Amino acid sequence: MTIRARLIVQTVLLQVVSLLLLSYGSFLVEQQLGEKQALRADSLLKEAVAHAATDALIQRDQVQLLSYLNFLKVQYPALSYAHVVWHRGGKTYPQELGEATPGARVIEESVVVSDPSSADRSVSIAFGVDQDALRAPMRESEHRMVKVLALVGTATAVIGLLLAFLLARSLTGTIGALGAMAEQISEGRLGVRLEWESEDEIGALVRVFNAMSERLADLDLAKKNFVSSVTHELRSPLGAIESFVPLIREKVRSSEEGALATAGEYLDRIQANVQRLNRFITDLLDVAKIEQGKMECVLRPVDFAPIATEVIQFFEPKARAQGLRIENHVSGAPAVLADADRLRQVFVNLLANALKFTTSSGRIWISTEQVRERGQRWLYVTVGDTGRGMDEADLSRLFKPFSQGRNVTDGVAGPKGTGLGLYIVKSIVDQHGGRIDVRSAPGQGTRITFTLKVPA
Amino acid sequence: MSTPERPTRVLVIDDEEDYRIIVEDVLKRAGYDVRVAGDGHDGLAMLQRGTADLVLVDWMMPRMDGERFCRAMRADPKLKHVPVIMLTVKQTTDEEIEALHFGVDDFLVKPFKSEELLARVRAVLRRGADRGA
Repeated sequence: MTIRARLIVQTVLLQVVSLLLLSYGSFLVEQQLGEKQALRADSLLKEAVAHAATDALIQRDQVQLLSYLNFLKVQYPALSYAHVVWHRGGKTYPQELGEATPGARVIEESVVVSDPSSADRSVSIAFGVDQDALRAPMRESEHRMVKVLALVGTATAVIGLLLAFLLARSLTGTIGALGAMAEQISEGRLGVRLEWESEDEIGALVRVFNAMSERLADLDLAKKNFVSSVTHELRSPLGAIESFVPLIREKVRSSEEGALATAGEYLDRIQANVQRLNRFITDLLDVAKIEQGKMECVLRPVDFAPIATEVIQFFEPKARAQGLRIENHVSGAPAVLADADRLRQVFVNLLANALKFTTSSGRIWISTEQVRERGQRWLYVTVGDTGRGMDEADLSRLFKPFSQGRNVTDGVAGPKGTGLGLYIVKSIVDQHGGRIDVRSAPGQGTRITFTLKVPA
Repeated sequence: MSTPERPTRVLVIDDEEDYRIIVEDVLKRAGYDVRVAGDGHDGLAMLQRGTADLVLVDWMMPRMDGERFCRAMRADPKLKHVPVIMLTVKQTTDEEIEALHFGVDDFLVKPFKSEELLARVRAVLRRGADRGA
């Protein structure tokens, strides 16, 4: 059964049940009221009979009593018969009026009235009260009520069915749209959105669906980026190597002047490309480790300053070639809890980025600061540059794997890199229990600060 | 093809120095007059100072990429007839079709053999000469 049908059936059933309960309740109330009315009618009848008897006794008129009782019998259909007995001076004179209907539920009541002026005169009347006749008016109103209830019930049920149908349609309409959306996603149209605003559960569901759809689209884009950057990063250096080899062969065979020197230069280029491939493959393996949660850093106290200085020295020739100097402000930094190889990797990545995005007129530096936070001593390490900087959009995807800012694609010549470096850096800093922050703005340079624990 | 009076002028635009050197080396030894630029912006400036007979341009470059370079070139009445070969590591059919729309005459997918480079350069120049005739 569809949700829509179930909703309609359940709503209507609920309505019918509540209607039945309500009817039963009103019926009970009506019945009790009717019983009270019957009792009142009964006592009224009794009063009237007593009244008639008293009057007749005073008037000493037996005929008047009979005719009055007759009148009462017409007035009150419940009065089925009356046996009147006059007592006078020890004698009795009976009188009969009507008789009990056979099969009817008749209860006999009696009234005895004595003449206050002469004690030997009295009249006693035994009269039958037909219980069904007594309750007839109230039964009639009960019937009327059942009719009204049936009518109102039917009308309510019809309206309810209509409302239930509309409600079910409005609910299942959105669910149906969500289903269609899920189908589109499963067919590969990632990133589709459902336009629906409401504060209820459906609205929440739609929001979750939209977020999921967006995330799938992001993942898909990340996958495409991955494929494209892997393709580029593998093909580009490999292609260069492949092209240089025959050129070198020709230079070696050639008798031209300077051919051998050019061949040597090409060999250097091949070596640089091999290194680039090597770095890329190492980065890929690191990312695989990170994704599998197997990137482990063995933390032990290490001397901070020599590691930083060593990496700075490694980059100095490249910096000089770009007309830059890397400023070293780490002397006096304390030992830190770190994995020395991974720490070196962090500096290599950060300095390579700084060099990539800083022009000849700029500065690059590494500085440190000791800070105590909640009983723990930390070393704040900053790698700064006065380079191109980044805008908000680039900052937001800085630490995501395989994503690169427009800076890289639009702003820098030469190898594009893989977009893996800062992702790896962040993972390493995480493994050290530290934090990493970036401050940057377009044209204002970039300062990346990470924290390392200082052993107690 | 080159004539005895004046060798064919080829402009190579690529931001990766390795590829500039490779293409320049191959084409120079085949007798072409080769000039190089590091991005589309510089390349366009060089073309406007003194035109070329053929342009080889990389797709992915900073500042002005291959696509924007081609569009700019095709919009310039002086340069719009100069044939263009796009160097690329991109190679999906969709992307090649897209590139034909902005006026690329041929593709060369990196990495390439020197024979393929020379063959494509000659073919594009010949087609250009036929068209011009």
